Amino acid sequence: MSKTRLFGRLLLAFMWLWASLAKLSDLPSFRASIEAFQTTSPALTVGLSLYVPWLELTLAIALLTPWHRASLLLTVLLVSIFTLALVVAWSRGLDLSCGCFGQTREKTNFPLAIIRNLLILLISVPLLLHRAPKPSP
Amino acid sequence: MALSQGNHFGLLRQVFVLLIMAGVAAGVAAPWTKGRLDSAQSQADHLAVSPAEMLGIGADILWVDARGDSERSAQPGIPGAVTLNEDTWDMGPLLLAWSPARPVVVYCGGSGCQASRKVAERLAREAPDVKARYLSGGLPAWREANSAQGRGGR
Repeated sequence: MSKTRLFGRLLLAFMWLWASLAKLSDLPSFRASIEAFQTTSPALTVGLSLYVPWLELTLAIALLTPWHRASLLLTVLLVSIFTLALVVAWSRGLDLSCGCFGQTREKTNFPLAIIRNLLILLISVPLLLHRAPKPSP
Repeated sequence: MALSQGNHFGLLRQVFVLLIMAGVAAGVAAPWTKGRLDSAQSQADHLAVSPAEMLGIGADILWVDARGDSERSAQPGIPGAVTLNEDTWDMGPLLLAWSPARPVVVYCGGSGCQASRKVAERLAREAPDVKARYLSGGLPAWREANSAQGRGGR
């Protein structure tokens, strides 16, 4: 396995670990962050705030296992959804702290957050599409 | 990229299992996490002040600006507000300006900001006599309420 790909997976695993622990340590703030997007019902907001941190933790662990491609596929889907939510919130002129990595004191800088997510996709999509060459007979 | 159908199926099965595993973890932790969410929500509801309620309190509110330095320098706040945020926690200016007759309301930059709630919660723990509350909707709500009041007064 190429060291670059291993480094990419470790980087993504660290990112998910950080994101999940930051959210789990302050769930009320994460719920308030979801509410601030004004796109989910109260019940869905609570459900998401209870589920998403654990999904992120699961993805972090799975990236270090043979199931890393499944984790990469979910990473691409999840980051795409987060990016879409940021674009929609930005276009609606919402002032919010996205709570993406637990930081909730300052308002989110939408262009920076979107660029950050695109960089994450730039790392995870090639890792997902890469297929190890089959051993020759 | 040529993936066989078997590979696709295996990958989707793993994706499904990961989603279920996260759900199981969230379900196992739910009694603890849901309890924390509920108690935090009831405390936040108790401390929140709506813009309409704020107008009813009157003019002698002691405003506390909970925004960080960069936000404060980018956008002016409520005139006369004292600064108190979690980055540089210093209650000195607030306690100097405070008197028991003055209601204390904390605000931050937007409807989705949470600094004001956090500062109000911390004040409730560290200086309960101050009875600080926080403004729902933040600075934009204050501006809107004031301009609406101005229009109504004409």
